[in-house]
Amino acid sequence: MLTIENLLVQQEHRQILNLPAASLVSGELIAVLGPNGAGKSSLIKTICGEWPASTGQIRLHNKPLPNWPRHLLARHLGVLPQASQLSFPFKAQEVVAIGATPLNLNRHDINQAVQKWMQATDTWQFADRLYPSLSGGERQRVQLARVLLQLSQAERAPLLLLDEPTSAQDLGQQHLLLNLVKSLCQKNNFAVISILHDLNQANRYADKVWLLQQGELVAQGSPPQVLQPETVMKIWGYQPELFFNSQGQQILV
Amino acid sequence: MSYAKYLPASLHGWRRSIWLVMGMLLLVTVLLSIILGPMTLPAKQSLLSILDQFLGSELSQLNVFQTAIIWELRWPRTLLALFIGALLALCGAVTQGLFRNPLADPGIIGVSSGAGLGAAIAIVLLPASFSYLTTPVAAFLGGLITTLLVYRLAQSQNGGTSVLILLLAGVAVAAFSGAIIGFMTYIANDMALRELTLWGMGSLNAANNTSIWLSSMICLCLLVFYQLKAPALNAFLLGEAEARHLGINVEKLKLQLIVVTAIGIGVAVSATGIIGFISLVVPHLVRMTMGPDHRLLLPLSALTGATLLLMADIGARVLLAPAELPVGLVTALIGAPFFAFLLIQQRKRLSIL
Repeated sequence: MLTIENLLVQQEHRQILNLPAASLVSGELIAVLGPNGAGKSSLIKTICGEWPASTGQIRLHNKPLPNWPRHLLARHLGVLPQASQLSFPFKAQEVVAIGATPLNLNRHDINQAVQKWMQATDTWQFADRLYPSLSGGERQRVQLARVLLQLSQAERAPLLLLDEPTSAQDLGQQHLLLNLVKSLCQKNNFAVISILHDLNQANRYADKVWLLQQGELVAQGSPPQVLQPETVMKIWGYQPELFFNSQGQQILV
Repeated sequence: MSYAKYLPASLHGWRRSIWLVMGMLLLVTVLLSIILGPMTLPAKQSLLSILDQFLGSELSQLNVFQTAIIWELRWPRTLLALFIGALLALCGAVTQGLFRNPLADPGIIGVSSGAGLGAAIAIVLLPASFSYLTTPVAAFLGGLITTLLVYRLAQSQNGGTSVLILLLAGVAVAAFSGAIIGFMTYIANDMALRELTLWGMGSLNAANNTSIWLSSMICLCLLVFYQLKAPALNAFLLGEAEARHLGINVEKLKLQLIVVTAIGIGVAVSATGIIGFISLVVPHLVRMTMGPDHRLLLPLSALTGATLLLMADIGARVLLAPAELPVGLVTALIGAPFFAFLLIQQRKRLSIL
């Protein structure tokens, strides 16, 4: 559903990203991994069109991104930012409802969808609290509910971009969130590209890993294939120990 | 856009009663504005006179002189206060949304002084016979240029606007305009000088048919246009990138809002001079009670702004009667302490920026 060809992103003559070819299919969860400054966020920003590509093309459902009409693209491409700067005192549920901006729903449907996605993201219990008074993790989940509402009228499989969705969440919420995303992939055919930091979470939830280093895609494939102790040593400069759990999944410590 | 239909259930009851309360307050204030002034008129007879005017009846027992006071002086002035108050509050609310910053008021960031500068140049340097046309246009251009300039200056790396630079830019623009306006005053002839002084202090006593028509038309247009953009403005509060991902043409929206707001401020400034703080205080009060949703904030700010400016004008007429204070003085007297209060409230946030 998403294909990236000859993508080159430069800023002030410095190469930020260089991706000759990459693609993903509907229902796939991709974990983007790499050290700080490897270009993970740049990749997200480029795919969602915030940063212009110097050369190359990104196609969603075989149509180059710039050719998509705005509101249709909004229904098929959702972005969860790392942090949001909203400082006006909206209620949490009002923030979620803003996700309906590109949609065609009546008031009743919007109210129901708001409740549905807030329950799914475990935010419904503070629906009436003011957004600026929420903690970082709570805000992030409210924003996720907003983005999921935004994608709820997609006619074809939607693409969801997550910029470090687990960074502000506690352990329980991290797994709740990744389970939700995973089930969206499996049941609703979502394609997801998510920046992660925890290699074991990538192992457990991702279908594929894209390993970035200095703006280049140095490895891609299934998590156990890519995340070998030698590779981890090479990329992060840390030698992990490899274990296997009772289900035979590999664990890096 | 479907989001326009969404409202949290908890707001429905509230919403109806707030409109009723504000509407009643507006009517009472209008009546007070008709009967209060250097010469107090009998309330009941004045009310009848208003009925006479609209129904063609002859119930009122006011004498010719009293009727003239109502229809020659107080009624036009009341109308102008309503439209300008609404216009200022609307432009203030939108400017704050546009800058994603509750302290961004057209007066404080220098847009009003820019518009004032344009108007001053038009009054002093351009032929007086066309001043009804050239003054609003020049005020609009002055306002537009300063808005664009300040917006560019205050834009920071992460896409937001910096409060500190915003306020400093306002200081710089105000000082610059002040100097040029001073120079204009210096070289002005007597007639232009009188006109300059009039709006320099912000006063509603220059109400005439042209200014009432112009401000009412612009007020109506802005109300409709802003209301159409209200859902987009809400999305814009999330951040520029987020709004873009929601399918909004952000660059176009920003340009439209800047131009339209500059027109609004330009018209307001050319009709009444610089009246500060309405555009800052009113959206704040509304936001504090009703939340930041622009679909509600904008029309309610217009209603509250109209009422508040009219109240201030009644104060300006009555406080030192028979002498009259410029209404700009009254709004500044109330507004400046309020602004200080806001600054203290926001100090924590400011120190981060």
